[in-house]
Amino acid sequence: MLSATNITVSYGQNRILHHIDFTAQAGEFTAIVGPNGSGKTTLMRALTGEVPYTGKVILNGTNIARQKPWELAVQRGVLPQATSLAFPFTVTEVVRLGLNAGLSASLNSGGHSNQISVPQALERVGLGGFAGRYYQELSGGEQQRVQLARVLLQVWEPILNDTPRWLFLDEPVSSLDIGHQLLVMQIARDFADAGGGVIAVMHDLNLTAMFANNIALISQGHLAGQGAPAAILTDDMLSDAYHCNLRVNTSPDQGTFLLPHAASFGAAISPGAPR
Amino acid sequence: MAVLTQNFIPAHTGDRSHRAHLLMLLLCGVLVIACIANLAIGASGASLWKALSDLATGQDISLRDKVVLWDIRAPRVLMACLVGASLAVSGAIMQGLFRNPLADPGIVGVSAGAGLGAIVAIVLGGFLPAVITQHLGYYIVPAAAFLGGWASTLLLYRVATRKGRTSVATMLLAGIALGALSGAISGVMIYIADDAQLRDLTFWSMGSLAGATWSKVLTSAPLMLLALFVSPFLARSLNGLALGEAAANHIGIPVQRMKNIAIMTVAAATGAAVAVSGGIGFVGIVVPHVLRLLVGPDHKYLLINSAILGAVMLLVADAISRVIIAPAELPIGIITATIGGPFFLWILLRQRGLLDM
Repeated sequence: MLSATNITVSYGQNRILHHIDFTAQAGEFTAIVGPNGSGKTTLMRALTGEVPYTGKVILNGTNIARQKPWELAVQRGVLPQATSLAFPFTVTEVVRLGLNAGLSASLNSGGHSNQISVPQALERVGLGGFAGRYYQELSGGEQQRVQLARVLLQVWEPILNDTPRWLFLDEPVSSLDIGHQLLVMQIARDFADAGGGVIAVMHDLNLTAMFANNIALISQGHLAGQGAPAAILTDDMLSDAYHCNLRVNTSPDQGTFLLPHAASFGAAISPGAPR
Repeated sequence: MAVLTQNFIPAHTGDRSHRAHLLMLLLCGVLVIACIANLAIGASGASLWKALSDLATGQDISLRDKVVLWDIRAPRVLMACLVGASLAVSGAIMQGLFRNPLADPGIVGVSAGAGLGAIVAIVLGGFLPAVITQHLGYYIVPAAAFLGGWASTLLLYRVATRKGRTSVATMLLAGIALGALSGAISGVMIYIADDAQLRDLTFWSMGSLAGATWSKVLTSAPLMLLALFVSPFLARSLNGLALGEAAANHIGIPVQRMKNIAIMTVAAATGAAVAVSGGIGFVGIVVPHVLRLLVGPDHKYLLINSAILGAVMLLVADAISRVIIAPAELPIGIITATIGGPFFLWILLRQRGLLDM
C-alpha cells in the first residue's frame, strides 16, 4: 500500500499542494484526475520523491525519504510524461536501461526469474519490430511506449517476494491514438489485477472511468475527494472541479460510465454558472 | 555525412554490444601496433629492431640507442597513451554528465582551469609551507591542476545546469568566460614570475609530449590511472543520466553522488593530463563522437573504447608531429587542433537543433 499524509508542496512563494492525504492499494488502478494546473503531476512527483515536499509518503510500509534510490527502484517504476534522450540510443538500448534497475538488490532477493527480456517488453507495448530503430527517430507516441516498455521491464513481476510493486504513470496515454490508449490502459489494468499497484495521472475521464477502481480528484491544489469511481465521478464533483457543466451518464447494460457531456455547450466554461 | 551514418545502422536487434566488443579488440591491436611504431620512429637513427635483436642475441645495446629508446621514446609513448586516454575519457564523461555531445574539457574551460592551477603551483609553489612542499614534492603541479580543473568543472556545472537540464548556450558561454578568467590570472602569474619560473612555465605551456621523462610520467600517472580505473564504474549511471536526472534516480542511480564522482574523475584526468602536457585540445570531443557513430552511446563500451582510441589518436598525432618537419618537431596541439577544429564544426552543424534549446 502507498499512503501519503499531509503532503504540501511549494515552489518558492507559490503553494501548489495543500495538505493532501492520498492512499493507493496494491491490486488497484488508482487515477489522479483534475483540471490543468490543479497539481496532479506535482502530487505524482511528490509521491515519487522528485520534488521536495512536507508530509510523509509511505510505500510498502517504509518512508520513501529513508530509502536509497536502488531500494525504491526495485519496488517501483516511474513513467515520466515525455523523455528526450541526449544520445542516439536504439530502442533496445533504451528499454534495457530498465533491466538493470536496482540490480544488486533484486538479484540478492532471489525468486526473481531472469526470463524477462527486452523483446518481450517491446512486444507487450506493441512495438515488436522496433528493436533496432533509433529512439530519436520515433514519433512521440512510439517514444512514450518505448519508455513504458523500459518501466515495465523494471517491475516485470507485479509481486516480488510477497511485496507488491508499483507503476507510477504520468499521463501515460497523452500522445497515443485511441487503439494504443486502450492497449496501455489494459497493460496497467493487468498489472494491477496481477497484484501490483498502479497510480496514474489521467486527463481522459472516459478512460479513467473504464479502467480505474479508485480515483483522486485534485482541484486547485486541494484534494476534492478520493474513492470509488461512483463516488467521485458525479455531476457535482466534476462540475465544481473543472468549472464547467458536466453530466455523467451511465450505461446500465454495461455498467460503465460514459462522460463527460457538456450539459449545454453555450452555458459551459463559466465558473459558478447555474447548472 | 549521411553516408557515414547510414553505414552504421544498428543491427536488427538494436543491440550493438557485440560490435562494441569486436571494436575493443581491434583497437587494442591498433594500440599495440601504434606503441611499437612510436618506439621505432624518430629523428635520431636509433633502431628499435637492432636494439631488440642485440638484446635477443645477448649483445650489449649501444648507449646511444639505450638513451634514445629507453629514456626518450619509452616515457613519451607511455605519456601519450596516458594523456590521450585521460583526455578522451574526460570528454566522454563530461558529455554524459552534461547530456551533450559538445561538452569537452578543452572547449568549456576545464583545461584552462587546470592550467591555471598548474601555473599557480609553479609560480607560487615556493610560498607554500615547507611541510606541504616536502610531502607533495613533484606532485604539487598535478595536484594543483586537479584542483583547478575540479573547481572549474563544478562552477561550470552549477552555472550551466538547472534542475538537471543543461543549457548548451550557457555551457559554452560560461566556458568562454572561465577560459578568459583563467587566462587573465595566468597572465598575472607569468608577470610576477621570476626568470627560473618563467623557464619552467615556457616549457610547460608548449603543450607537447616532448618533455616526457620517467619522473614526469611517474608523478602524473597515479592521478590519470586512478581516473581511468574509476571511469568504467560510472558507465551505468551515465547511461541512466541520458534519460534525465529524475528518471535516472527512478532506475536506482544515486544521481547526486554519481555527479560528484564524475566531476572529480574529469578533474583528475584532465588536471593530470594538462599538468604534464599543457593543453592538447579536441581529443575529448573527437574520440567519443567517432565511437558513438560506430557502436552507439552505451557508456559501458564508450568509456573503455574512448580510453584506447584516445591513446591511439595521441600516439598517431605525436608520430606525425615528430616526423612531418623532422628533425624539428611540430607541437602536438597543432595536429590535434587541425583534425579537431573542423570536426567540432561538423558536429555543430549536425547538432544545430540542439543548440536552439
